[in-house]
Amino acid sequence: MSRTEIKNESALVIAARQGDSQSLQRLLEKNWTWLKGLVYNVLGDIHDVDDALQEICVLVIRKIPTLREPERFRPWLATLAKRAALAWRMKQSRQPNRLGEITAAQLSDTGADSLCDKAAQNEQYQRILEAVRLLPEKYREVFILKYMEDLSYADIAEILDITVTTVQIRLVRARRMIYNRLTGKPTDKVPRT
Amino acid sequence: MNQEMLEILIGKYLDSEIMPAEQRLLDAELSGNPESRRLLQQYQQLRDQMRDAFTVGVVETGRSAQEVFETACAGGGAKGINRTGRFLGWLRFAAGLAAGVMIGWGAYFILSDSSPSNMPNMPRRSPAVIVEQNGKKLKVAFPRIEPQRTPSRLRVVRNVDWYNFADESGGEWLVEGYRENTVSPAVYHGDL
Repeated sequence: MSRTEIKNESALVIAARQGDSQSLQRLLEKNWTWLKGLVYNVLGDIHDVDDALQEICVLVIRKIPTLREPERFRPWLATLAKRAALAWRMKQSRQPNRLGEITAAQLSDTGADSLCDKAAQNEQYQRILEAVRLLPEKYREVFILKYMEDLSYADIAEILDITVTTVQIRLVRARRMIYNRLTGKPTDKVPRT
Repeated sequence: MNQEMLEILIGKYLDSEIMPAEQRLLDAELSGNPESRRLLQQYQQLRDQMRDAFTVGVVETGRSAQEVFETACAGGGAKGINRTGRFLGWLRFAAGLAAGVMIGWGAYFILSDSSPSNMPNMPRRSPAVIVEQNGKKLKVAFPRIEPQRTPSRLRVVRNVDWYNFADESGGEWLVEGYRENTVSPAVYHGDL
């Protein structure tokens, strides 16, 4: 995110803190995709994601006046969202991750040219998403943020409050783990880079 | 180039984070190693499929941000703002009140500790002093003068009582008597 964008976002946060709901809505819209990805990473069910996001919106509306540093809105939002998603998951008492199954069901609506192509594509998607599902959480969240919105390393680092180098290393390892799983290589341990 | 380095460079290249120097290294490796080219192609394919899967399965599924936000506002979020504001107002008032009570209480104890009524071992009988004049010792007893009542803010400095005394030869003495039942040498003021 450029310096101008950070300033704009901070201005929106200041306005939202003072009760401007339009600014808050714009803020959420700007950060919606990665926020959704983060919640999806925890819950694994897109329908639960929508409900959890609604609760997160309520929390944001209530807690935005307590945000002291407007320039740290994104890490604040990420922390709040992760906690809310975890609470939601516990409340629902469901299995934590069903990323592959649920998404496979949704993928059946994709427009492929023929049934065979569609089935092959869905199968491949399922395999990939299953591999993502089996990643350790810290690798999975970085991976989902990267491939859901194509965020830069710096943006992911800001959101997750980690260093750019950590983001880079986690992505490399996650990619290798998925690749190893898909190609049938042993994936018992987190590979070293 | 080892495998780790190659994967880091491929990853940075695919994520559009590669630096020019790193790009040159990668280009050199790819041009001389078909295995590396194959790995790059597979990672590239994986990335594209991943993006498609997430776009279809997550990003384009579910309600929009606007819709969710409006529902959240209607379902208690806006009320929450007011409740939070009211709660914060009460919280600030209560915190201020508590701080005021604590400060007042502390001040009460500090000042009451230094008041004369709490002084330990106060002499109850009239003090007496031994005065030496021209090599002659005189024992002088005189009535105790009760300390004057002063505002509490001044009490802390009233640790000394002063007594006037006129001896047999007509000399006037100013005697300093400490509350702790000690007596300092007298000072002769008759010549003043």
